[in-house]
Amino acid sequence: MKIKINGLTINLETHGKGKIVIFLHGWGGNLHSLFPVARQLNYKTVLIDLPGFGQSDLPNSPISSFEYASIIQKLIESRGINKAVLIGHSFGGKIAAIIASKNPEWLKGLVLISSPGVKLKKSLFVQLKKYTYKALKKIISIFPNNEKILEKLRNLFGSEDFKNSKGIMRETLKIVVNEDISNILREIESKTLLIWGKKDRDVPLKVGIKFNELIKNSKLIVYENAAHFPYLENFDTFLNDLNNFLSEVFKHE
Amino acid sequence: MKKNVAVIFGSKSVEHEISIITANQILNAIDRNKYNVIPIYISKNGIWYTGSILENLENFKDVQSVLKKAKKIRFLEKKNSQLLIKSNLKTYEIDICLLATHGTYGEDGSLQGFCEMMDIPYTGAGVLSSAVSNDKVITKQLLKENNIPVVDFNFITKHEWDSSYEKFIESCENQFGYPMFIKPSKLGSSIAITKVNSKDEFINAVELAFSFDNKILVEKSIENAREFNCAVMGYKNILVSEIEEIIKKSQFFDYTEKYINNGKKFSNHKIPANVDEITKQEIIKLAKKTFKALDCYGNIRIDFLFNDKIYVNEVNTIPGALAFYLWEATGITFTHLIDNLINIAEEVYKDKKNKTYSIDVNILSLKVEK
Repeated sequence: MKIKINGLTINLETHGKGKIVIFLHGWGGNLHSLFPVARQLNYKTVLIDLPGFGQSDLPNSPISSFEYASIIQKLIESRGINKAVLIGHSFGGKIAAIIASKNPEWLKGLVLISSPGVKLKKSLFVQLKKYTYKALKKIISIFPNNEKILEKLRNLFGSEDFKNSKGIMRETLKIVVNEDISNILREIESKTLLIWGKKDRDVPLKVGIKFNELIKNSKLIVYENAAHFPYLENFDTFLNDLNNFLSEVFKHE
Repeated sequence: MKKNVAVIFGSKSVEHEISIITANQILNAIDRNKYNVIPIYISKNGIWYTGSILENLENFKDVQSVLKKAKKIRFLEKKNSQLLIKSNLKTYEIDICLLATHGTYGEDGSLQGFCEMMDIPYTGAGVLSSAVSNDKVITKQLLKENNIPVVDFNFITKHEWDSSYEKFIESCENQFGYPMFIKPSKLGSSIAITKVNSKDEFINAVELAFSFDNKILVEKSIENAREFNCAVMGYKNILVSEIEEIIKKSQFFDYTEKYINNGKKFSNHKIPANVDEITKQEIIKLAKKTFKALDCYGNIRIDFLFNDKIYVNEVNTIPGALAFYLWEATGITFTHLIDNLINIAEEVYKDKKNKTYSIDVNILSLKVEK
């Protein structure tokens, strides 16, 4: 199904019947990323392609997570959804957290999986890498026809996500990785389940612990063998934890 | 800390070679950032080996040379929740056993029982469901008891056959009529399974099946049936994968077709199966019911037959290639599938540890009032 919000066409899919659970995928993913989970639930599930991913339109200009959140919130409210749980993985979790901080009336629960948004002190290695990159960039910039070499340099130093992004999405990524939503997390009132993998190297467990401190009504569950995709790496336990949370949250509804 | 995972394969089974392939696929897919991997190969005569030579499938083209170059395991010992495996020079500390064995001495509860005795986590299913699912007759009886449809069947042991085969054939003929299927009760991979059209063929097929097993199964043939498979995974939940259809080429899906045909594997698998929603939901329902009835955990594959009605035909508690292709079609990569099996094994082990298996009172020392 395709819906126009703020002039952007957003693609979404719904499956099943019952109370509503909305899924927001991570950077580089699409609505299929969380479908393995959605298909196992006895709820009505709504899977959304975030702008710039899957079959949704590319934003017209680089946008921040806050703009993502406002588009998605508008989309949800345009569907007349009056009770729902919001689930986000990674970047999708950050968007979900921003939406939750506005405490919309329809939001009955929030699930954040391996989500970024709290800046940690960078390790010495990462700092060194950053300065090396900046120094090299300066040197290369002096020479003419440097664009190809600069791109090679970016690919050498940049993250996987950075390498795989182009144009507007690369600029968008630059904006979103530098955001810190610590203050916003304090505003969240709804019950929140946090799921993290202990071996996550993209969004380390430290971030999850910080999220748990900052969100009032949260519970953090850590999967020992999991990395950045705990919902797939520990599928059986995740579904169990998720179903327990969903039935608890929807119990009073 | 990285967990030490032993990938165990081979063993005394007609599916020995299939197990080598499954293990090789696992060794290529397992996440080595998370686990230290120790391959363990059990030879056809039951000797255990380890060493990096076991990691390359090519090496197994010359098994004798593999056995010469691999390190023979001399000693196995239990230490806390670890299994110590000792070769001449080295001791390996194993935290968890990932079983990639198929058929006898590997998928039938025996290796599972060994892991239980050694008190080490191992990937499911457990002893009970492995043993039950490995015997087609017991499986069918159990499923029938749970109102799960199975193809009509009869069975006979070697001793009974020797004394009264005429009567048995006659009763099968009356019950089902030709064609029928003759199968050893305990084998997988379609080995020694024959479709018979006459009494002569019946007798030959039974004699062949008895060379593999002491109990044989006779089944009515469901003509023009379609074959569907799906994988089922879980412990706390029961999760069903996408459904596949096996597109048959020869008369039935035999060993050659399954594994050898031009070396092209899975060319005859259609995923997802072209099947209507009602049938699909029925298959999912029966898959969950079967998983539960057989008291399974881990990751199994269930094979179905379909013509008007759906029958559960066979259960594999360690499916070939761990049925990763079915999970891939469901959005779970092979690497993540392995993570899941390890996690389930640990959950099962943790729960087992919380149960009481011994009591502190020595009953023999109690005084009994007379």
